[in-house]
Amino acid sequence: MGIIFSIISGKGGVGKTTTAANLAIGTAMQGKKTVVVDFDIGQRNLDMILGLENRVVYDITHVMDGDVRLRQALIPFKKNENLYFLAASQTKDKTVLSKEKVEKVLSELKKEFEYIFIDAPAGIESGFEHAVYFADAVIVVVNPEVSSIRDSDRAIGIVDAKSKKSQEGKRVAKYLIINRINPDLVQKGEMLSSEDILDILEIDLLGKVPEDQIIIEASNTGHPVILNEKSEAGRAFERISRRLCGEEVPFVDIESVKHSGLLKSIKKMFQ
Amino acid sequence: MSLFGSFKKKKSAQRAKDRLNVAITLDRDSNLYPYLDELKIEIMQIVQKYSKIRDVRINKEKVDDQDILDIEIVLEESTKT
Ligand SMILES: Nc1ncnc2c1ncn2[C@@H]1O[C@H](COP(=O)(O)OP(=O)(O)OP(=O)(O)O)[C@@H](O)[C@H]1O
Ligand SMILES: [Mg+2]
Repeated sequence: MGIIFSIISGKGGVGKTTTAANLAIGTAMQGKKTVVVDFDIGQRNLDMILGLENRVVYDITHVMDGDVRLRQALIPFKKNENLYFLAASQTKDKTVLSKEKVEKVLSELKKEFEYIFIDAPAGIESGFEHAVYFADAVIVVVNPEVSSIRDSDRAIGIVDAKSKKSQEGKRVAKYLIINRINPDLVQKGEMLSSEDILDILEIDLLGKVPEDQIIIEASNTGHPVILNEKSEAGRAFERISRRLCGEEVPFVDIESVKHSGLLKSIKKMFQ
Repeated sequence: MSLFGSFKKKKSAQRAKDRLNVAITLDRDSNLYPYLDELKIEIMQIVQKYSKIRDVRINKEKVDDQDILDIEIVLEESTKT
């Protein structure tokens, strides 16, 4: 039986879709049968980020409505045979999701795949509750910035109140990814450090991802950064994927090491 | 410690942390009872079996360390003619 990870946030635009795409590729690269599902109904994005926008024929609503079999709607990711993708529908009508239909699709996916990633809509959107209801674990994405952090705490509150596991008195595992860290600003004391954020939110850290220009190029080309050796963010997502696969990967201090190369060479000049 | 250390303005990240701690504590308090809306609807449905009502008001209070839900049922004015 697979594990369902819902990737959530309070505020929108913090990097959920980027995270979902990269972690799914990451666990697939670790040899795990993985599927990533776009639950952001009406705002289909993940297909572009994965470079699969031309391959979408059927989406999750077609499957839920019984128009096609799950197998027909699953799109293989060409760059890794362990990964499949299920698209969101572009309809404006967000009421297409119902608990029963969602449960049916997810339980089918759980039989076929080891890792199921759900790219959720932002915490305030309708559809959020469907995306977290059946989660075994949630991955909360925040930026080191006050509104993102505050809103994420409320989203975590909704998970605690509304998910199936919590309602059955069980614990939903919750993990934090801090995305778009700017090491220079943290060093200057002008950006919240990961330590500060963990103090405030009181949940377990899964990983830290730096701000990385290469992500723009990655979404332009549909070639996620985890596939790019040169990308710092890509390496961070790879470490997180390994952690999700049970490997003990030490946390890299991305908040202070950034300019060591430059600093060394400047010091050399004065030696 | 520099002589002027205590006059120095706090770095903005520290201020963010302080402000977030306060804001989130308040948020968590006000979200202690996420079921209030549903509770209100159910109470209305039950009471309506016996009497016409105008509103159900639920107030959250804290007396010392005791949390209290204060439920007030406002009946419809009697429609006797
Ligand atoms: N580490 C990063 N460095 C630089 N840019 C980033 C980083 N992470 C995300 N971005 C950029 O931020 C923007 C928002 O990212 P993304 O679409 O993944 O967020 P989202 O949380 O899924 O948004 P929404 O709530 O709208 O679904 C994108 O333009 C993305 O390229
Ligand atoms: Mg998104």
